[in-house]
Amino acid sequence: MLDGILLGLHTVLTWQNLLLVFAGCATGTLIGMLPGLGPITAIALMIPITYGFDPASGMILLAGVYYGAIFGGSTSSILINAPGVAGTVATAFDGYPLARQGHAGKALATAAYASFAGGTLAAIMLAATAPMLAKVSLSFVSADYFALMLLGLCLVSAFSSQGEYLKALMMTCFGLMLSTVGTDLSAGVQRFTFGRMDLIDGISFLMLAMATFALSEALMMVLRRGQSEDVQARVDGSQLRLSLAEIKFVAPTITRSSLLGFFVGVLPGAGATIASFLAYGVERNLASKTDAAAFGKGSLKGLAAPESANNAACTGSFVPLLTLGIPGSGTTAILLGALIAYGVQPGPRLFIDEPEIFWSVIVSMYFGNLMLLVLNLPLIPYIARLLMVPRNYLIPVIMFFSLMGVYLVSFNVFDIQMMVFMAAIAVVLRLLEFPMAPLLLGFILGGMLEDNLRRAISVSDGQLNFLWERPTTLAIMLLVCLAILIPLARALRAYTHR
Amino acid sequence: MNLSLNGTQLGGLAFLGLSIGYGVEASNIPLDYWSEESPFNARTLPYIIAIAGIVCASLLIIIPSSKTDWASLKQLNWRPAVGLLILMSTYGAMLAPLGFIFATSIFLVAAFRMLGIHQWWASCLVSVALTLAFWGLMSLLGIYLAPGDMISALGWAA
Repeated sequence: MLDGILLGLHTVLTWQNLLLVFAGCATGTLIGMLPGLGPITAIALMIPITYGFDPASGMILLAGVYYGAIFGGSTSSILINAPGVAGTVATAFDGYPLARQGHAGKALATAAYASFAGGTLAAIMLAATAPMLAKVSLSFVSADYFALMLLGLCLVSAFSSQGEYLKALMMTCFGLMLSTVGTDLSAGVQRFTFGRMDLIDGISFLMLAMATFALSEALMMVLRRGQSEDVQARVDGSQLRLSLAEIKFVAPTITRSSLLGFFVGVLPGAGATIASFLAYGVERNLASKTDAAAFGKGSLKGLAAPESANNAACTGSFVPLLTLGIPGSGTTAILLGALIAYGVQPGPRLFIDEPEIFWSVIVSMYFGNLMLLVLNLPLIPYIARLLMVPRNYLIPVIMFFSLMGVYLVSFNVFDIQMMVFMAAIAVVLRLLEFPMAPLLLGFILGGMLEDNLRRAISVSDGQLNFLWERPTTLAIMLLVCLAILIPLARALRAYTHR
Repeated sequence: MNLSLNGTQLGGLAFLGLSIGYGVEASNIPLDYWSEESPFNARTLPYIIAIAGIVCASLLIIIPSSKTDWASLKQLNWRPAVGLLILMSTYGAMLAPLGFIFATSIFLVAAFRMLGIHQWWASCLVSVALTLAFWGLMSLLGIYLAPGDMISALGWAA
């Protein structure tokens, strides 16, 4: 391992590659900050530029863009409640309320430190345990993945406020319904397209995320104009510091969430989204009653948990990509395409045939995290000024970026119409206090859930015994049962006591 | 007995209808002979989701969790919000015929005006500057934003 790290350091510590890490982080942050433009768009835009580089340098740049875009997404989640990517949705739960309370600087600083700690811990774990982890993720079968995704969906109770469990479950079902729109790739038949060509490829995740978060938030601002104060956006240097007590308060959360995020990120198909939601849920459940009550209202723990988890998961998601050739997320799928375009075949032989690529990516991750901290923290007071733009100007601009973010992916005006329609529905649901995050989670996991269920049922000849045959699947399924029954029992008890 | 529904129950009722409609539509997904015999086909997951949706919606109607404050909802600024929804939809429809620069500038000016910015010079300046800056950035990144059918037809663009 030490030889590998030295090889990685030797590759990364050239001024060209350090410059690429810096350029990648800066570009990624700027693109990721724009609502609607996430790491997938950022990486897709940068891939043509990397064709002139050697594969290691190309991957170093793209890894930097990935990290930068995730952090940029967190910044827009915190400042304007517009997560460009699913991985930063959970960041908005507490980051945005903190910004609204006038603690935008503290929220951004916490996010930066948590991301740095999460990314660094994960990079160390990746270097130390990559071969072993590859074996662990290899041992997972479809039934385990299905159970894991089901667990992720059932943990929606963690995202819902007290007594709103059924609403959250209902929104998950709604998300799952939307995920089935389009062509069923296994059978090649169209489902729920109503004969519209525009729906053959299904509903775009970006469109749904923008409609339910950015656009609906802008509309909610319009609806509630006069009822809420403008956000205090002035951030001075002193606001960027965390006190010793605050660091002590969030340190265990960051450590736990980084570990959780890394291990979830290693599992192909899980990635930053599940990691951030799981970390948020776990921390909320572990918190004392007073701390748990603050979740969703501007809790530092609630912000640090998803931030460290999503960064750690980003690092973890490189394990199946580099060692198995399996993308762990949409973003790593694009990176997989880039590797293949460079003429590199990802898989178990990458360690042996192209060790400089593997280790330089790992080492560049650490440097990328360092650069993000150095690059982003001093810029925070300037970034936070985004909020000082008067609401009457800011709202149409958010709407424009949201609409363009979706339009620039497909160049199809149908997506704009669909987005407006979905935003209208989202506004009504939000007014009736239905949570939006479970809808997005159901939508993201729907396709993967179906693929794994199909494979598991096919392998078990149409029987359902795959749910309890393997100890791993059985253990996860037991957790699923608990995740359904405990909140349901609570809801019923609350109803009978009323 | 109070028969009036609160917001949660209304939502549950709408979702119950949606789930039933979804389940009915799922039964219309075309399947070939082989798929029909298969233990898992294109209808399987939609059926499971429809059943889960019906159960959730029914529970939500029976045990509603919170009351809706209808009076506060009536006090919201509905007029500009609905206006902006219509404006965004119109922007989408006008993007192809008017082109990015014209359509976006008009959209932004109209949106600023709807939100109470009545200084024409300020809204026009911000709109045109933002539109041109975005268009320039996209051009630099190699992303082509069409000038619009009308502009092309008039021969104003290459």
